[in-house]
Amino acid sequence: MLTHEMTRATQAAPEQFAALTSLMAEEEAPLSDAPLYSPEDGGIGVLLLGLLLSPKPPKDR
Amino acid sequence: MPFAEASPQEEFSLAVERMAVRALDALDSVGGAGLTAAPATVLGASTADLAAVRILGADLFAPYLLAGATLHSGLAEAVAMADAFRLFPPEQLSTQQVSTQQLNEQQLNEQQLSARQLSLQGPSVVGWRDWAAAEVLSRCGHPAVVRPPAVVTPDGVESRWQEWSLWMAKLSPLAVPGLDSPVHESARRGLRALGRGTVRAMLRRDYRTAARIARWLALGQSSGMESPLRLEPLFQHIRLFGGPSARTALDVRVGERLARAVDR
Repeated sequence: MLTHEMTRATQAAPEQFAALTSLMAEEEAPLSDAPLYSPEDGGIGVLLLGLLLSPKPPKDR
Repeated sequence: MPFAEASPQEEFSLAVERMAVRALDALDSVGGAGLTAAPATVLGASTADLAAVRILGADLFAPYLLAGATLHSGLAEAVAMADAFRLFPPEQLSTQQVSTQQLNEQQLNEQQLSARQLSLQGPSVVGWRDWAAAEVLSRCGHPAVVRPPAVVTPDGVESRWQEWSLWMAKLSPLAVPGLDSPVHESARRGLRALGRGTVRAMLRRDYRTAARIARWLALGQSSGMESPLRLEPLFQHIRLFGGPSARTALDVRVGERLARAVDR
């Protein structure tokens, strides 16, 4: 049989009620942690280098 | 372990985590290995513990409800919940929530009014959670009368799936076997909307919200309905990436047990 003493106040304080309600109605996370597109700094340089090094298109006769 | 400078919110948050760990232990012991007793620890030894009991609500009894174990008045959870209802009466909580909302109402402009239509369900979130806790407590032999709130669920669930699924996330402790209400009925009707809400939360990497909504999908699946999402890999992903929160872990474990219940 479990026993414990009730030595608390008969009712909680208003700020305790406020904390309780906010933890009961827990909102979704305010900020998303989804991955965002972030272009690499050297991306444009790599693209230009690729264009320069790429073989020329065949000429039409 | 209360801290000298901790606010009630911080103190209660820590207590809820501790209480969720206890519920997880109970989930393993009750029915898990054929045992019928939860960990024999004293519940509700402090105000923060009783607040945690109130915050977890019906989730505290989830191990027993999932295992189909007999509820009785001598359960440590039942005794603590009865004490918690005395310390934090349901009617006081509703009043607190409404007065906070009235204060916020003065700061709203006209553009925000339409968004507020759904936040009106704030009091009903607490009301429904109280109703569920009181319902289970009554089954333990501790009569606690809490009437279900008047606001049941918003209209147009499909068109407003985003707000509605977030509302249902807040009501995740109701997603346990043996409870039935208009909220459960709306969940059965809105499984697709709940699926969308779960996917949105996963894409936002808000695993806590995803786990809470997915519990409703698991409950629907346990009652023979088809879930719009495959729940096993979903819960597995949340289990791996959901962080250290014991509350999230409890939602995941309850959801997994519910999803598996369909195979029985």
